[in-house]
Amino acid sequence: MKTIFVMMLTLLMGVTALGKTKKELQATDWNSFEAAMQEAEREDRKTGWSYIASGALVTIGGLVGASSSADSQSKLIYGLSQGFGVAAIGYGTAKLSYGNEYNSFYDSIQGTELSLEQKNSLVSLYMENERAKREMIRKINIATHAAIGVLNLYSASREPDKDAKTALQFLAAVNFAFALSYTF
Amino acid sequence: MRASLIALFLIFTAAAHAFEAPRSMATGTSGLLTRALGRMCHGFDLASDTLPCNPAFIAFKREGTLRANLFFGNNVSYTKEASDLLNERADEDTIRTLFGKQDRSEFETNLEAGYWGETWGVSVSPLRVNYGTTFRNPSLPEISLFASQEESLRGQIGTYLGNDLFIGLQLRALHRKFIAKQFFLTDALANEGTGFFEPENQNVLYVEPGLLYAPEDSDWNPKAYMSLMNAGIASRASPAFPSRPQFHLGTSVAADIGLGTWGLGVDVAWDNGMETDLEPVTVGSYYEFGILRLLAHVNERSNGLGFQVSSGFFNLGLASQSTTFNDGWGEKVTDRRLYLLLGAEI
Repeated sequence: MKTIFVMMLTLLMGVTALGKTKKELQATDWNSFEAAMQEAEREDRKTGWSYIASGALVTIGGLVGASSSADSQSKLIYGLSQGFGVAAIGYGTAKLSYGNEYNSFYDSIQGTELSLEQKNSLVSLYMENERAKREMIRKINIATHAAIGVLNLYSASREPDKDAKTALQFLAAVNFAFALSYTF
Repeated sequence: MRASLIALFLIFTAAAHAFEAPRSMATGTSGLLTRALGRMCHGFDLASDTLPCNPAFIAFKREGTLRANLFFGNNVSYTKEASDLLNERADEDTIRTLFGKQDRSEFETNLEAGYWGETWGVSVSPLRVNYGTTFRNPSLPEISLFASQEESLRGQIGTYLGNDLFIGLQLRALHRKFIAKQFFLTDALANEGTGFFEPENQNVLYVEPGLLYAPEDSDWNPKAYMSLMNAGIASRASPAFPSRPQFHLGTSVAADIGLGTWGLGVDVAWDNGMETDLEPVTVGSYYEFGILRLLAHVNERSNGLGFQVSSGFFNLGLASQSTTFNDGWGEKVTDRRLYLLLGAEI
């Protein structure tokens, strides 16, 4: 059981490290890009405050829970929660301060005296580059998860303990499934 | 002399007999939503466990999500001994570890991964272990033991019928190895565990439909639903797992309030064992904002409270549930247990 637990944690850390593709903004010209950014900014403000509030609650709750709990597994959950809470406060603050990944480009274009035609051209080029970047990240994620799955299978083939073998095979299946999910 | 004769009589005649498994172990799957929300998990569209409790929710259009969850109760350290018992590897040490404290205990563990996509989903659970014991008569300990190990595969498919109606179907295939037995501790020790616990095997195919009415033109997102759970065909009948299809009828609302979303619902359930141990009405609620989701439910025999924290990929949670169940001798016992979740999501 302990082996399974450690392997699940390893999988979860690995998944976290690989990163998740952020939501793609849909826009073909400056007007649609500006409208999408204004909507995104409203969402970012709400998201920012909700992350700060929930992060604070989770951090405080985690501290109280960890000190009052006698059970080691519960202490682990409360301890991890504290980290999540602080990270959420940081993320929420960043959301309020800097918005989303498109804000830098949007703010830069907004501050210029370019014509509408020039802005449309820049938006089109920028979105094309963004799509190419996302496609590269997607391929890297497929390759990485597939490689982890192969490694898990290799480890399972050499593992004498039945429970650990099952856990490694399960991890391999999960990683192959993750790799497959990126193909959709 | 008379006491000795009575003791001998008890030992040789009361020996072991089977009984019905606790309802929470015999039905459905193990997950944070089922512990924190109870039966109200059928009424909410919450992405927490690998697949929705009510298969009609699979028909909602959404981005595909892959999840892997490890769910366990806080006595998880006994999983190895329970597994040894179920796989006929038990010895005297196993018996002493599991039953030496003569204290009521219960735990469950579930490892599951699944894909929840647009109108379909699939999940696999290579390991779900349930274990529960109750004791009586400290001078001559008699034990009521239930242990099961399941491997299962679930598939859900759903579609929109029009007029705000959604329908879904879940097929669930599982292989179950279990022990449901009442015995004296002295008998088990005398046998040193060898051959005393003979697990039974059962294969079951469940067919579980769900129907959902979810009009979209309201800020409160009202929903009304029906679902049928645990309707299945078993390879062999067993008194530990009687056929108990469970009907659910309920309603829920969910609205954006403050920085998050608040949901409230009522579920009415019934099956052919309800007059003994099933309370029909459950009220459940949740509030989610930012990284935090708070969950709770209450009915006359059970109540639960839990939270889930999600970073986007990595999520964890904790739920506390109190349930009243039959101890195997016709007595009602109330217990509160803690359950934990570690999960990943893409």
